Amino acid sequence: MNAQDSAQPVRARRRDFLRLTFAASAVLLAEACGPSPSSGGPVPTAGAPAPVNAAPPTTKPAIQPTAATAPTQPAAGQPTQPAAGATQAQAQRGGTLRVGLDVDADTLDPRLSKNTSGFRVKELAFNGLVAINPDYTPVPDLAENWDNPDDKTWVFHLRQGVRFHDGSDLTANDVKYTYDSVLDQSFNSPARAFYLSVDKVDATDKNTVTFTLKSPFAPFLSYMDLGIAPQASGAKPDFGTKPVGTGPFKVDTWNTGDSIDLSAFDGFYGGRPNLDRVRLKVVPDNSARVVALESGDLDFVQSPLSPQDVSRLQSAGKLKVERTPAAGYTYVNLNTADPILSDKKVRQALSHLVNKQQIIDTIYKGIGKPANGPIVPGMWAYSADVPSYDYSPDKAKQLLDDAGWTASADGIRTKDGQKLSLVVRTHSEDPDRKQLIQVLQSEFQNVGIDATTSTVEFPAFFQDVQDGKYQVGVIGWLNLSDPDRATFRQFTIDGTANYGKYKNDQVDSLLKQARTTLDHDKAKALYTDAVKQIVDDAPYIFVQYQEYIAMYTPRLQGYVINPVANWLSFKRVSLAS
Amino acid sequence: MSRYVVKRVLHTLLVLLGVSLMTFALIHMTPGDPVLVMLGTDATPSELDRLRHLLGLDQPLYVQYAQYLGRLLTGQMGDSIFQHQAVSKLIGDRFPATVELTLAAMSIAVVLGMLTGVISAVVPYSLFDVTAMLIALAGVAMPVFWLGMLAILLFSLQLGWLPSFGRGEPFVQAVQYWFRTGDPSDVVDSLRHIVLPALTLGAFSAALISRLVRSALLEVLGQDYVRTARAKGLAQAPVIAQHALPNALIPVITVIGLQVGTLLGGAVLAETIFAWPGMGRLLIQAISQRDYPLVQGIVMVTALAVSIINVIVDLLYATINPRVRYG
Repeated sequence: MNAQDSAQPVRARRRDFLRLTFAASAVLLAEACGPSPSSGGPVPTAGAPAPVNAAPPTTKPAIQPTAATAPTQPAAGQPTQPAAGATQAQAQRGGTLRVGLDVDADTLDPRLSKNTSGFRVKELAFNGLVAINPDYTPVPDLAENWDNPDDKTWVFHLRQGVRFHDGSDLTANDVKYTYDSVLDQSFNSPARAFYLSVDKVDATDKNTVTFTLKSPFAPFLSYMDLGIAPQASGAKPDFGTKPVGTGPFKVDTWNTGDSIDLSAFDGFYGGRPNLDRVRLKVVPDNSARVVALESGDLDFVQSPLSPQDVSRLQSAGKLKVERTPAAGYTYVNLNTADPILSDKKVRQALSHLVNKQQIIDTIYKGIGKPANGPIVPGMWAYSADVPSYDYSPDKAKQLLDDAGWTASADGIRTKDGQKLSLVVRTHSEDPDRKQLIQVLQSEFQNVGIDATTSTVEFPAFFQDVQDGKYQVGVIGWLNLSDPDRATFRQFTIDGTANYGKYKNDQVDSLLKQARTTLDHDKAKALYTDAVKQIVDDAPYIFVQYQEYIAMYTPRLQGYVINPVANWLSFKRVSLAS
Repeated sequence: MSRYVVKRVLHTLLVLLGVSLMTFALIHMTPGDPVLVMLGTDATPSELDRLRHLLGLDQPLYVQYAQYLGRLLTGQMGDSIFQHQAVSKLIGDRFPATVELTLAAMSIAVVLGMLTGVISAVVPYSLFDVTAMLIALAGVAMPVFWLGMLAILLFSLQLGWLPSFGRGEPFVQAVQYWFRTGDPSDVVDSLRHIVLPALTLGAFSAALISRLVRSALLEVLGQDYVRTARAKGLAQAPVIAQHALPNALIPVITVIGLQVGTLLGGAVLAETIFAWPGMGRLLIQAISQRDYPLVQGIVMVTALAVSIINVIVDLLYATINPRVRYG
């Protein structure tokens, strides 16, 4: 590999530079196929075990969306400062947290946002009916509790006395309005697809909202974190730039391409945050962002980060570096509609040619873990009890022989006069993936496959993938906040993201059944069965479970890393002077 | 003169028409689909088709182009597909930052380039000349992103003198605030932010200008009229400033004019490294999102700016060099 270890401040940076320029692009298809580090979501780049630094000390639970004990909101205008003594004992009040973003938000309207920065702002300025905990479980947020009288009905009881930033009270009508707008096709919300199971939303009374579903939908609750917009101003054309939410921070100004300024909301139902302000600064270059953290111009940066910078800061020890398994993975997509790859034996042979641990150690600098299925570790439906393919060129050769692809005089395998030729593709924005396809190429060539590589920029690559015009493609998935999200689109026969036309009736029915099974234990058994089948059929080669990384000043206290909704804990953090 | 201006304006319109056609063709020929970008992986084919229809992307290309031109004539550039805002607003937000950075880089380049160029020409082959020209050679050869990174590492991380990224208050506003309140802190902050990106961006042009000034001035200094000026007893300074330099400047002005275009384009790199909220970054982002209206809008505005600057430069010739006449 051309890893050029010695160099290299300079070399490494130059690589990163390339990443960064395209950071922007990445955004878009953020969770889609997550082009790389620089894109949306809990971003890749990383993946190995063990937060190196212990979690920062906290004096109180950092995330408590239930907030049973949280102070009720003070009357408007009334100063919330506790007595000075109390401040000393507890977290320090005041200060501005300066956070580095890799890309600017696309819009601040949580119903329309399609990129990570937009999602993060939502966590500061808005609340959903539920919030998502670091272990992927939904916990009460604007809804104090809920009932599920039958499989198709969900009744949410709203927390009382919640206020929007404009001072108005949250009512059931606002919730109904928010979901109705997302479901309205002409609103063009990218989130609409998550709520297609919803038949109607009713404001039963001022504090009760009832969702009626067309059919039982198990992942329902995990999508109920959509930010609630007020009916009064949610439809205004400038809502995306001057949003009004119920969150702990309110948006003051958005200088597009530069910064987003938020300030503490005194009327937040969970009590005013300790911080006075949060200032989000867009610094597209991964390395420049880290340098800004080191020089004190920023207080907090997060994935995407270059593996080199992470290891450098870890060994320097001056700043906090926290790592957690992310809700995403890097994988090799095999097009089962391709004449060569439609043979399961060939796909299995290729699976035996991927040395996951070595790829993680060399390309990803030890960040991430070998992946063995679509459901990420840490999620309730994850099971370690699924088979995986060991790295074994011998087994691969045997499988290819069995499939009828035999070596010819020039060393390339043929069958019925046809050469075993494969094109391995990825997108140009991600230097790690570009190295990965070279590794795959040489592994494939070693067993007699005529392998070539091709790299184009993400939108072009992704369109080919979407249209099924590819053989072998290295991509990733991000934001897999629910097992359904990690499997249904990808592996059901009509799945919207089943690019390789994978077809297994048994998997199809297992996933459809799991989607309507509300009991987690039963659902987990269904998912495990499906995953076993999928691994055996090998439409994907699962390579690396990604990692999510946050690096910040030791002055920041109370921060809890969260692979799904990373800034939820900002409402409790404080900055020591 | 006025006939000349009219002619140039017509030329500019033709150039803009060509640019719009080229941009339109290129961006539509590039594979990738903004609708996919917008709706993501969960959208069904029928939803994708619906949005394509809504945005008019299912129309034949010539129809789309005609519609685009039609809108442009009425002053509309459309809405960004991805950012849900008017293209004119997005550009309006970012263009001043790019102009500020470009002007700062240009000023640095002109001052530095002229100064070193003139001194080098006055004392050719001296230690100063050799050193300056070596640095200039390096400046021409050094990639912007590399120089920028080195500058951040030295001035921000090691020395801690200057901020590592971002823009202060817009300079014009900072100056207004200073005049209004007598408080120059915003101006200082603004300058501290712009020094590194402007220096990084302007380095290439500074190097180019200094080399050009040196050679042009050396040539002029060998002319008869300079010898005459010296013979009549003029001191070195007036000889250079009043007699030699104005003539040496003619090719330099051309280059400076062309450099503005280069800087506007090169600003993308400096803007990315230094997180400068300018238009170059917006363009890169728009291209990678296949945000057709935004790409077209930015290219048109940039083309317009460069055309206008070229006209101004051409008119300046006449002022600097009386031999040039426009009919």
